[in-house]
Amino acid sequence: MIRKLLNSKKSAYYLGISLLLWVLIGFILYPALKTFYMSFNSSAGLSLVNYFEIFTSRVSMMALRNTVMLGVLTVLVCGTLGTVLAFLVNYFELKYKKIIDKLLLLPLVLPGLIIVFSFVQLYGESGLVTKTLEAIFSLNEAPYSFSGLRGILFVHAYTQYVYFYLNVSVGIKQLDQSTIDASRNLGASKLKVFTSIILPTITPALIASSIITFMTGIGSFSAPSIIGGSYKVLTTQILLSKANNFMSIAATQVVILILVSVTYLVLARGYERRKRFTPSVRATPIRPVRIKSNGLNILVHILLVLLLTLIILPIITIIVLSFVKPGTWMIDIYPREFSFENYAQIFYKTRALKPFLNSITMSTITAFFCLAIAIPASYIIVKTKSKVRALLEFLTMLPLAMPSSAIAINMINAFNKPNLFALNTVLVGLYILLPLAYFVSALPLMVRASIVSLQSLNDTYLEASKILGARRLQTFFTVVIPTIAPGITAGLLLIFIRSIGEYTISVFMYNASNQPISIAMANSIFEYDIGLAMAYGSLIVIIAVVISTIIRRLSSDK
Amino acid sequence: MSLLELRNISKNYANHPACNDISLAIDEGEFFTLLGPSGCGKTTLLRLISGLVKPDNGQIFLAKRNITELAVEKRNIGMVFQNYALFPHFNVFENVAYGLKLKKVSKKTIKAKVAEYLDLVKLTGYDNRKISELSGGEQQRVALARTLITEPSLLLLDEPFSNLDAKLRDKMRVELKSIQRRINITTVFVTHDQSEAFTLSDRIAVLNEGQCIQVGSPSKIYADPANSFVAAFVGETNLFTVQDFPFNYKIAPLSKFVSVRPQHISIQPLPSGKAGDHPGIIVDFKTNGALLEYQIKLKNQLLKVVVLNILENDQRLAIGDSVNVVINPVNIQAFVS
Repeated sequence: MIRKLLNSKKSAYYLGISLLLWVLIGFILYPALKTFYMSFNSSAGLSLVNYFEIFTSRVSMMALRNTVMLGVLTVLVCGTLGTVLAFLVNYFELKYKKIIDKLLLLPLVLPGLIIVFSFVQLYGESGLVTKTLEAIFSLNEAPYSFSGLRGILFVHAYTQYVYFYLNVSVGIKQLDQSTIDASRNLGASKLKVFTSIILPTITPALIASSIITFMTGIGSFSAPSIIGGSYKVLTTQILLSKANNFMSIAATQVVILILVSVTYLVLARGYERRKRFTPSVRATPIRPVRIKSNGLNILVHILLVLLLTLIILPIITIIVLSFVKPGTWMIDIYPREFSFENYAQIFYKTRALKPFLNSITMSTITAFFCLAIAIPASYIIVKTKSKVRALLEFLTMLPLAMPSSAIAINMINAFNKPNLFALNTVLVGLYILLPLAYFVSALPLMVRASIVSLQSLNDTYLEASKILGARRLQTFFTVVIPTIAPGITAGLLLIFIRSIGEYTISVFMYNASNQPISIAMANSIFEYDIGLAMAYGSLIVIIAVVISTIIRRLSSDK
Repeated sequence: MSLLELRNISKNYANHPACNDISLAIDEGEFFTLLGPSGCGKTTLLRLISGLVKPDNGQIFLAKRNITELAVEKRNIGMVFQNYALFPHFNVFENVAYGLKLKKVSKKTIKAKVAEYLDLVKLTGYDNRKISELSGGEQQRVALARTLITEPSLLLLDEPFSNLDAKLRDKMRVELKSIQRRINITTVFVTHDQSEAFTLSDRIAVLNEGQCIQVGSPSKIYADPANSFVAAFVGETNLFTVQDFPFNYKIAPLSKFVSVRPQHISIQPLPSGKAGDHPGIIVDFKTNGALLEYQIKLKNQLLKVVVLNILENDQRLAIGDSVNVVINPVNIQAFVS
């Protein structure tokens, strides 16, 4: 009897693992391998023709150079901005520190597409800021050009400095005041303290942030496609190849893009390994330094106010412009007539409402897919000694190395013909493919969140509960769920807001049945219906801000 | 009458025996300590009693009932963990009430009992505190209250004082002992600290390498250790192999080790030129205030000697002094192992 029970337990376990691997291999590994295979595919059978074509094409090589350049410059710009801000906020005594910190984190939850459109409205050729400057200084043309590399970098600086700001802030908080004191005591100058104590402490944070910024930079699509102009990068070229149905060329470009990203990842990780250290457990938190000079103090505060304005301005712009009455803002610098018409359109016209509902539905589906896969996978990774742990970790983290455009191409290549993983159906053209692609891109985030949650679930809590008389289910509901729920809910919500504004994957894969809000927003812009686009944008911003507030509550409760 | 009985308990981890054929009987109301160095199997034994681990061999009886295969949650055995394992998502009240809630006790009773047990551990009014706001000592009291409120028939304590600083540790020891006496609960206590074991226990089991070496009252174990390991582990001693023993006394045949406690050795100043039976030289000296501790070199062996600090400074022996070392042969202990 007991043996039978054990056996059925065991077979359920193996069935579960098989299901997990089926999903992970079928929707992550197989599509990636399929793209890899396609890149060698040509009319002459397997060959290097596609690679040869790209490496001899002037345009393709330029796109490749531009991509690497964009990645490197994004890291430099965001690194400087994010690190300076992290030091201003954490290392010095400041008033209103908490509010400043919250505002600085805002760009983390705002979809890139919305920022791009908002920036165009502010700094584009006929943008509000551009026109205002022209009017004030009576210029005949715009004082700057917002398109091309500079424009993209400006957007990237806004959307991605947060990674540096977050990680370096954590690094600064790990600084041990006693090591600084000791170093001063041993005769180090302030500069020496910075280079020998502070810098090494935040180096791992800098490297980690540079990895994520570089990868996001080279994978960025919305900024290059909308304001890039003649500055071609790989992601935009991939869409071009796909649109012209050169799928083998698209596959080859994807492989090259992934190679660039993985090369940086490997180099940076190698460097990080040499720079890593274990923070002291008994570290004394640092005392914020007071800025003594009055002038300097004022300067720092002016700088901060300026930066904060730059950060909030796009959000205010989106919201204000969403109330502009359709057809009233043509030649004036500033809009004059406001109404609720744009929102009325979204909520009363089926055609306008459908993308909004689509996005909500698809983001929910994505979150549930992630939940269903991430929980068992992270449980096996954290709490068991199963042999498939390493494989699960590799498969669930694999999408991190793949930019959104690569994930989209992989999915299209894998599911435009019936295959076993999709139960012999063609998924391309179906509603479900888009949420599936969102799921692939969001899974690493969810697995990370669940792993952290499960690690906080110390085994002795379970033992204590048992000893106090709790049965398995009682322990599960009173100890396990409450302990891991906040972290996992936060992860789910984060995935929800990421998916709701997703643009790149959507551009590659949407169809009439599942057009998401980001595509509807872009289409409104292209139809010069700015107000409607901004109303869509405002809805996403509101959802993002509300949900991120909930996330922050959840994570501070512990 | 023995409340808990272990019969021939064995447990292996990866072919390494953590507990090897251990048999023990613990009496009702007794404060029983499992003492041994880390890795001796004492924590494994405690977990076997609790049911968190099942033995490979042997049986466990609680009040004459075989509980070897009984599930953890049905044993009614309480345990305080080394790191307390207080649920971080509950406040103090919810932590203490947890066991009663599981038993579906009425809210009114729970409230009254929580108040009673918080009073027992001197934490009245702490109900709504978060666990993270408590000090180490307070966390320990909550853990104790949470366990005692379920009125377990047996209380297990796994090195409960190891996370406290020295002063607090002494205070908590006294309090624990007084609570244990007051509610007269049979207690099994695990520690590697022999002074802790001595101040708290009615009886002690000394464990080493998965085996139970000796069971007895603290004074019995100290005065009459079963072998050289116990002699060296419990209290300080001078331990020699028979060949190295620097005194000319007859040792029982078949003995391999000899032990003399530092306080059983006395030293007398030896004026230069005079010869004693066992002449030695003081090579080191230190004091903790109440006691003077000397290192004596005798026939190439080092000997530790402790005397009460009752002499004036200038009358004390000093490093380099020649001394005659004297022991009473009845204080020599010989061991075959």
